[in-house]
Amino acid sequence: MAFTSVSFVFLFLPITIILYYLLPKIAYKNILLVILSLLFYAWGDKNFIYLFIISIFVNYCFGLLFDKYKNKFINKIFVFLMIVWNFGILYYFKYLIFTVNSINSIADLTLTVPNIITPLGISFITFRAVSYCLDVFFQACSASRNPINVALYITFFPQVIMGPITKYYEFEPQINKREFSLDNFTEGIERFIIGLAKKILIADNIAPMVNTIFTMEASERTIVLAWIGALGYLIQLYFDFSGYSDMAIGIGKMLGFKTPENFNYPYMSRSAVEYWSRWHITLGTWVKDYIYVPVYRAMSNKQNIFTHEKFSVTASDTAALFLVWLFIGFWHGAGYAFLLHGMYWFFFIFLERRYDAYKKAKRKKLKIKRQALTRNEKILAHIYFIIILFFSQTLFRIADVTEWIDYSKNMIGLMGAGLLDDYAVINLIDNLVLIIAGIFFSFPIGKYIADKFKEKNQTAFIFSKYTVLLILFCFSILWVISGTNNSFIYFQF
Amino acid sequence: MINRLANYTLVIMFMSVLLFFSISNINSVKKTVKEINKSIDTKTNISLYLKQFEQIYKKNFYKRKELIDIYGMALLLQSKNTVLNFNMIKTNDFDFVVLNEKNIKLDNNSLNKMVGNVLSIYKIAQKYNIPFIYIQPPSAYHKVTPEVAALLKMKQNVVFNTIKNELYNRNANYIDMYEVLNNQNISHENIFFRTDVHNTTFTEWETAREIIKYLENIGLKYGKEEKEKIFNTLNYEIIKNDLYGNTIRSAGDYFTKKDTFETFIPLYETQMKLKIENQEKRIGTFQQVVMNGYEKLQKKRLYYITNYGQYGKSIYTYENLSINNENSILIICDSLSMRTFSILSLLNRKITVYDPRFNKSEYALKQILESSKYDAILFSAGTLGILQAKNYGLKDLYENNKVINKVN
Amino acid sequence: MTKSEVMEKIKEILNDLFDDDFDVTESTVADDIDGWDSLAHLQVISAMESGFNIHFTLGEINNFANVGEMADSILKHLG
Repeated sequence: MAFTSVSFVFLFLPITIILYYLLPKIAYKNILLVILSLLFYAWGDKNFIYLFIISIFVNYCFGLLFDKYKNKFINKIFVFLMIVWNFGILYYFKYLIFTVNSINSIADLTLTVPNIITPLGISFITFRAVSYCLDVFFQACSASRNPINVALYITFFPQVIMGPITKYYEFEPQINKREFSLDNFTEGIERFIIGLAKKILIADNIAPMVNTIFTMEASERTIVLAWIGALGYLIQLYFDFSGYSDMAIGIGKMLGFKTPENFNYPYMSRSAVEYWSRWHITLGTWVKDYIYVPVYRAMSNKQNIFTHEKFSVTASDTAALFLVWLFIGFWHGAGYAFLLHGMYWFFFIFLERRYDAYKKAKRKKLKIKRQALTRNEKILAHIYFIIILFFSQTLFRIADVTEWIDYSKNMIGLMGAGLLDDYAVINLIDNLVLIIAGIFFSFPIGKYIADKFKEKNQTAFIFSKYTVLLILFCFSILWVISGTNNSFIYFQF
Repeated sequence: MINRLANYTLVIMFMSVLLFFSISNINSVKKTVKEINKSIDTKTNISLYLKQFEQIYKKNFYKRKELIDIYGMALLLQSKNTVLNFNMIKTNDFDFVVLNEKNIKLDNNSLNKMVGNVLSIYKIAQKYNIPFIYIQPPSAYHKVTPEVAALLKMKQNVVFNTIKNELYNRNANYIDMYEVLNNQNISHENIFFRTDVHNTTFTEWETAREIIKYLENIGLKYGKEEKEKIFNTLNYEIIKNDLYGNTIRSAGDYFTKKDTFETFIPLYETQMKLKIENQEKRIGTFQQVVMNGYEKLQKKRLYYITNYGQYGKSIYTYENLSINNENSILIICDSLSMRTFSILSLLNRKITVYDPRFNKSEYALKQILESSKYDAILFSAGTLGILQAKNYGLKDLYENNKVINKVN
Repeated sequence: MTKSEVMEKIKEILNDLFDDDFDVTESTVADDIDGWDSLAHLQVISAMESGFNIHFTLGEINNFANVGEMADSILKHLG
C-alpha cells in the first residue's frame, strides 16, 4: 500500500490509530501492529508475504542461536548461514535475472530464468532482518524470546517499504516502552502532513516534466533543457524520498515511536563525504556499522603478507570504502549503471579523502591548526559538489550507461542540439513555481524564517503554523483523491 | 498553556478531516467491495482484488466530483499552459486540447516496425485477395498548428506520413479523414473534442460514410434504402450530454469548457449479437449490445465515456441479425475508431474487430482469417499505441520486419 | 580509574588525534568536532583501545551515543 493512496489515508491510517489507542497494554498494541503491518505489506505484494513470514521466523531462530552460542566459534558459521539466507533471498529476487543475462552476453549462452518479480521493499526488509541478527551477534542487544517483537521490528509498516532503516539497537528499547504524549502526536501529524505535501504537491507535480525531458530524443535535447531536466529530477527525487521518510517518521511518532532522520538538507553539502552524511542517512549508517567498520577493523588488525606490517589507515579505509560503495552501488539496482553510480561516488570520496590527508599533513608540517573554510572556498566547494551531483543523479535516473553518456553530452553541449529552444522555455516557464519552491525548500531558509517568527511571537507562530499545515493537508488530500498517482520512486527497491 | 490548546486543536482538526472522509466513505467501501466481487472470482485473485480496491474506491469516493472540481480550479489558478504530462495544451482555437502522445523517441528501428505492421497487414490482405483500406482518423497533430507541433516535438505525423507515402506508392486505398473534413471546411470544434483524445460523433459518422463509399467502390453491396435509413439523423434519438473526456475526468467542471457528446440511438428496429473472443456475450438491440456505456445514460451528471466496444480483449465481433446483406468486415483499429465501426455494424452483417494491443497469440491473425470470410480489411491508427503493439500475431502469414528499405 | 580520569585521558587522546585544542564533556558527540567522520571515529576507537589497552566489540563501536557512553564502556572494560 502506498502512503499517498486513498486506501491508506482514509482507511488504513485512521483504523490503525483508533484501534492502537483503544488497546490498553503495549503488548497488545504490538500484536495489532504486526497484524496491520502484514496486511499493509500483503496489500501491496500478495505473493511474497508467505516467504516473508517464514523469513521472519528464520531470523528469529538465528537470533536465539546467536545468543545461545555467544563467543563460540560455531556462531561464525551461523552468521554465515544467516547472511546466505537473507542475502540469498535478496539475490534470487533482485539479481538473478541480471546475473543470468550477464553470463549469457559474456559467455554467449542462452540460459533462461523464470519471470521473477522483485517483491516490494525487499532491499529494506533484508537490511532490517540482517540488522536484527548482527546486533544480536555483535552483542549490542540480546535476542528476543518473543517472535512478535522480531516480527514487529522487521515488518513495521511505516518503515518496511522504504525506510528510514532503523537499526534493531535503536528500535528495541521502544518495543516495550514508548512515550505516548500529546506533543508526540502533534509532532507526528506535522511531519506526516509535511511529507505528504512534499510528495504530492512538489514531487508528483514536477514528475511529468522530468519524465518528458528524460524520455525524449537525445538529439533534440538542448543544453538548457538537459539541465532543467536534471534539476527537476533532483527536486523530484529529494521531495519524493524525503517526503516518504517524513511520513514514515510522522506515523511512527503518532504511534509513539522515535525514528532516525533520513535527510538533512543534502543539497547544502560541500563535498561528496558530506552529502552521504545528509542523504539517505540511515543507509549510510547501516552500511557503515555492518560493512565499513567490520572490514576496516579486520584489515587494520591484519598484516600485509608482503610487507609484514599492519595495513595502514589509508589502505584499510580505501579497501573498506571500496567494498561499501560496491555494495551500495548494487543495492540500488541490478545493473551496470548502478554499479557505476556506486563507483562514481567512491571515486570522489576517495579523492576528497586524499585531499584532506594532504591538507592535514601540510598543516602538521607548518604546525598550524585546522581552520574553517573561507567564504570563497565554501562557494567553490558547493559548486564542485553540485556539478558532480547533477551528473551522478542523471545516471541514477537513466539507469543505462550509454544513454547517460548521451545525456551528459547534452549537458555539456556535445550533442549539437543547441543551447536553448522554445521547448526548453515552455518547460521552464510551466514549472517555474515548482522549481523555485523545490530549490527554496531544499534549504533550511524556511526553517530559519520560522524560528525567527517563533522567537517574536510564539502564539501567533503556532497558530499560523498549524493553519498552514491544515491548508497543506487539504490541498494534498485533493491531489490524493483526484490525481493519477505516481508511485514512489524507491518502491522499486 | 497556549501550546496545549494549539496541539489539541491540530489533533482534533486532523483526526476530524481523516474521520470525516473515512466515515462518509463507508458506503463507498461497501460499493467497492460489491463491485469487485461482481467482476472477479475473489477466491483465486486476492491481489487483483486489492489492486482494484484502490482504483474503485477512488472512483466511488464521497463527493468525488465536487472535490475534483476544486482540484481543477486549483490547477487553473496555476495558469499552466500545459497540464498532465503535456497531454493538454492551450491553443488559440480551443482553450485546452488534449493530445495523444508526448514527445517520443523515434529512431529508424521503431519507425520501421510501426510502418512495417501496417504494410504487413496490407501484404497479407493482398495474399488472401481481400480488399484493403487504410483510414487515418483526424489525430493529435492535426489539432495544433505545424509550428506548435514542431515546438512540442510531436512525432505522430512522421509515422503517419510515412505510412501514407508507402501506401500511396503501392496504390493502396487510403482515406485521410482530416483532409476530407478540411476540404468541406469543417471547423476543429466540430472535428475534435477539447477534453478528450477521441473525435466527435460527427467525425465518426463522416468517417463511416467515407468508408461505405470506398467499400461500394470495391464492390460491396448496400441496399439504397438501408443506407439512407442509417445515415438519416431523423431516424435516431439524439441525446446530448456534457462530455468529460478521458484525460480531463480528473480536473472537474470548471477547468475548461465542456464538450458535448452526442449519442445516437436508432429509432428503427435493430437486432445485434456481440461475441468477445468467440464467446457470445450479448444479444439484443443496438443500444443493448453495441453501446458500452448505455446504462450511464440513465444517470445525470456522470462522466461519460466515448468508447463503444473496447473490452480489453483482442478480438470481438458484432453481428447484425436484421441487415439484408452478407458483408463481413475485419477492422484493425484503436479506440479512435470505436464508434465508427459501431456505425458500420448497422450496415454490415458482421464486423470483426482485432486489437493487437491485447493480443497474446502468435497465430491470431491466421485464426481470424481462417475462421470466417471477409469482404474487406480495414486498418485505422489514430494513435501510435496500436502501431507499437508487440504482437500482431502474424506467424505463418508474413514476415513483418524490414518491409520498407529506407526511411528519411 | 575514575570516570573523570578517563574523561581527561579521552580529551588528551582526541586533541592529539585531531591536532586541535578543544574541551570534551560527557555529552560531546562526533558532530561537535570538526573532522570526526566515520573514518576518524575508527581512528578514535583504535586510539582509545591502545591508550587504555582494551578492545571494543563491534556491537559497542557502532553504538556510542556520545563521549560519556564511550567513557562508561571504557570503565567497564578496565574494571
